Amino acid sequence: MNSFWIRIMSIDRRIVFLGVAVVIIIPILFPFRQPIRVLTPVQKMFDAVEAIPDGQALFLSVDYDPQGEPELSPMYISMLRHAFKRKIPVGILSLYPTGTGLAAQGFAQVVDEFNSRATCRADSIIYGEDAVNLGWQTPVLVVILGLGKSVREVYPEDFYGNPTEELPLLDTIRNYNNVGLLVCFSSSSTPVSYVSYAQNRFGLAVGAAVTAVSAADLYPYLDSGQFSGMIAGMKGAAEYEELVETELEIEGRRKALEAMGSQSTSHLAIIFLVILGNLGYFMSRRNQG
Amino acid sequence: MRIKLPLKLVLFLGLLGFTAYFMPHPIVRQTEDLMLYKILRIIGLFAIVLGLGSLFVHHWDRIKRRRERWQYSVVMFVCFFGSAVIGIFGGMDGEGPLVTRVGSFSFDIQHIFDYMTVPLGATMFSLLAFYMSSAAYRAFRVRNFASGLLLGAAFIVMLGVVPLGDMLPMNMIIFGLLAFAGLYFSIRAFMTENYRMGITLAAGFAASLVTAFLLRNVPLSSVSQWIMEIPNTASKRGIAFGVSVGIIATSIKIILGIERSWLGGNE
Repeated sequence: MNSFWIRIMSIDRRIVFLGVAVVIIIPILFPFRQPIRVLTPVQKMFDAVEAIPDGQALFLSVDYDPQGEPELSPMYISMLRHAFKRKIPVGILSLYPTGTGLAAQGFAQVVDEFNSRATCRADSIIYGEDAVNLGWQTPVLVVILGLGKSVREVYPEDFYGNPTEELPLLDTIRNYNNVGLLVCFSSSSTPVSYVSYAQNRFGLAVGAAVTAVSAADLYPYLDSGQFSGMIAGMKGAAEYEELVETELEIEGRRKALEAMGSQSTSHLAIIFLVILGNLGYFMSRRNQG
Repeated sequence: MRIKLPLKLVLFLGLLGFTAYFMPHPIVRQTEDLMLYKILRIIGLFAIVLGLGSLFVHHWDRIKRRRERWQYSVVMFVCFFGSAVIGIFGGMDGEGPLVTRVGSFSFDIQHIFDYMTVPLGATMFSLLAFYMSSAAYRAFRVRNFASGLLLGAAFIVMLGVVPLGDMLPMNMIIFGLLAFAGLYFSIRAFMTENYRMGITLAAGFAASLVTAFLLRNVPLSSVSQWIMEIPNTASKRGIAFGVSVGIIATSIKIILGIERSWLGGNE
């Protein structure tokens, strides 16, 4: 009997890997829809975007790399849909070079979605008038503080090489005084840098859209009101997608919702494995004793 | 001179950075602007060169000395120079003088990023799911009360961050399981005359039962959210205060020249 529990405790890791792969892949191949309940941090973020005053812009700081893309990209895309639907001017920037390509991809996708459905100028998104992609500048501190003085000084050219002097949107969006909210999409502590330098000095409203792993470190800033809202992990992204679809009636692919099935089954699989390992541990100890 | 000059420079710049925040005088502001927006940017560019140089030297040394797995350093050099040449001469989307298109096949820097960097990066990160599962299965053992508490919190948070946690009466299940475990182990503790442990576990059993009853209508995601917002925030805030005080103390020591290890050497 004891050898059975010892075997349970020492299942080959390749079998564990195979089991995890199966529970992740099956819900992707055969998706099942789960109801999404929106929690307070995501609702706060949605409300903060809704509360941006007329003439003020939403800045999106895309500071993630390909590793964080599956979790953060759905949030970024949903927020772009939200802003474009509400006709909020959008400025996109990246503090890290790997973020620029991902920011451009998501931006192009959402602009295409809106322009393909547009029937008049009011429905369409025109680059330079409704949104700009500023690209990457270095170092981080200079960008965060410099935007408080002048966007055009920090970014003489945009991501596509156009002189920012020629972008009409930046005639009205000059610095943080014209930014209603900045949302930082990050898999690290970058949102804290915006709080430390831009919020303390210029009073900028900051929101955080982060991976589930880094969310635990950032809850104190949400609790203190320094973050206007927070989207955490794939579930947070699915909640924001839900809000954008139900409240604003924008239809589009919901990648985070699609991934929820795999996330649910993989979490259950890990819990099952932990229980199995502990059962083996206790039973083998009892039999030895 | 080699020691005194950097120390004086650090003292001056440290005090400037510190006082400029509180002094709105135009001269102080202009000096700070010059340091922040011009000099810091130039230093940042030097740091990029330094980083690339360091990477180059490290991998060149590995190849020269034929260290273990030196072949990967060769791959690094091929990718390093390959992407640099394509990026500099091929332009962002292949509009540069270098031809980066053969028929329908493109290998400009944007294509390399989209179809190599992005999937490779996502693949590396997704491997974590497999290693974490295996590690949790092997290492997460309930050896004492504290680890049991940790495991309970982990289960609640793991189920609370997926929609499944709201679909099933998970509160009752989890707190019921905790109550069952508390009852079982408290009986065992009393039988082995470990009364202190028995009383603690019996209290845990009672608390779990009460919690299961009180939370019968509360979704598990709310319980998970409470754990993140209250106990997690309290602990993180404590750590943040400690770290901040440490940073302030170390910064003052560096500015005043008491802490000199950053200069290198033994002095």
